[in-house]
Amino acid sequence: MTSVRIACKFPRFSLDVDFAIPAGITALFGPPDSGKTVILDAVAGLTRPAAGRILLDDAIVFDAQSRVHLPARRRHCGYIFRKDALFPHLTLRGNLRFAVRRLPRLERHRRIAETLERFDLASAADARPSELTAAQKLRAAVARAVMAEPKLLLVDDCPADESLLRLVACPTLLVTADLDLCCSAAGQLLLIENGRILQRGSPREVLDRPESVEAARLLGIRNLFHGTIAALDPGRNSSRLEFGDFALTGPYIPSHFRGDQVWVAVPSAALRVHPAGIAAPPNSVAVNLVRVSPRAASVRLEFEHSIFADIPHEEFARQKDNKGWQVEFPPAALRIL
Amino acid sequence: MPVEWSPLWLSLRAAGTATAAALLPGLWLGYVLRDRPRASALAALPLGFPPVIVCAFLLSTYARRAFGWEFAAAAGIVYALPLLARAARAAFLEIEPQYAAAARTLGASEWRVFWVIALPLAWRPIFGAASLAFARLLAEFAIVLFLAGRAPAPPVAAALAAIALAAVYAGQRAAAGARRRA
Repeated sequence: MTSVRIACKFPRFSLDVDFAIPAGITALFGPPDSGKTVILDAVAGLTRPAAGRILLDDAIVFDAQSRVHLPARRRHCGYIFRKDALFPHLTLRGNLRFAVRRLPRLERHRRIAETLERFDLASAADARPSELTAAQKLRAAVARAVMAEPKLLLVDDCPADESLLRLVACPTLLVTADLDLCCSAAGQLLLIENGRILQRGSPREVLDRPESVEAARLLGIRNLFHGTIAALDPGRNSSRLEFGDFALTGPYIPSHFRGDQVWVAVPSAALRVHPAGIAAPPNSVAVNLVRVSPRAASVRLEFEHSIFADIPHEEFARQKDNKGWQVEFPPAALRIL
Repeated sequence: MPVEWSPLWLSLRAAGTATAAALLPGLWLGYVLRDRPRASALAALPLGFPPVIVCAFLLSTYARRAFGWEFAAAAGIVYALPLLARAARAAFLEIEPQYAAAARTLGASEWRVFWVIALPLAWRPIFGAASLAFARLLAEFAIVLFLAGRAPAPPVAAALAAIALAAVYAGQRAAAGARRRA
């Protein structure tokens, strides 16, 4: 088992995390300066936490209490740094050779040739890092780390894609700001902010059910409303939620009473928009459009009361001349935090 | 009258030996002190002693025989070591830290990181510092010869000056190349 429990203090925040790293990819997602890179550095042995314990494959590599702190060279962790870390004075082959220098010559040669083929780098084997493209540099960095047969691969916020990560057989701790990559490649997602883990679970589970306002904000959910439970009906599995300027019907909220204050999160892609004037759909709010921002795959509409809706470009093209707007909140899309 | 070239060979031998002997320990000192500014400042203290004074001290303490070039070389080491260590430390600090970190995660010992990563990446400014140390020592020994009343013949003095200037120029050109690359 590989597990990490570390604590250390920094001027801006205190890091205090405890998590296990199963086989596959574990993604660390959070804002800048939330402690993600410090975690990677601590696991790799490049920095020494004040407290905690780190196990790699059931072997203790750091234990603050018993003052165990294995140096980085004895931890067998591969590390893909955010900045390019291929040795600039060595060729690509020389970089790979550095990782397997202890192997017998023939075996070393075979492994290097095999890895160059596997990572599609054979044509660039004798080039220096400065002559490689950004994609080749990244592949070369992963190839070099993998060649050393690490127990754990640490990847710090670099533009690694899913296909490249699939070439890695060992457990991987991935720091990323790409939620799509988390969904497609990671088996476990850890949301981290100010040195604390806000939520953990499978990426789909975390994205679908944020547990706190901070987690929802971190996941980019813009529709966050603070309101009061006006009615609860367990028989009909419904609740009535009142916000400052509008009210909504949501699913029944267990473990709450009428009058409780709650936060409600609604993914902007789950909202539907209709023109004003047609029969109001259930659970809809009449609002004025404030701003339109086109995006790659959708158009983001910002309405008054800080309501955001993402609709497809075709849908916006149909409705762009609306004189007024109604935003429909499907009850199933309401997440009570 | 034939020109007496021995002062040139003596100065070259003493300065060359001192620079060569101080090179490796100076580099290693610079490497291990790169994260220790206070210790690095202490290590620079010998720069306050001119080689002439150190040489005089060594002679008064150990010498029972005539002045030997070995004493001059020993005094030169005391001077060249901190000079090289300071320059090497500055050069090592300029290397992006992820290179050494990557090497360590790949299982490299500190000695290997020093030899295979740090030294090749920092050789230009180190070469600049070594040639500067060599030129300074050469000039110091020439001054000593003057003070001792053994003023070298004009061709010897000119050769000493030319070698010192060439060493400074070559070293600083190499160091400037490193800065331009960075």
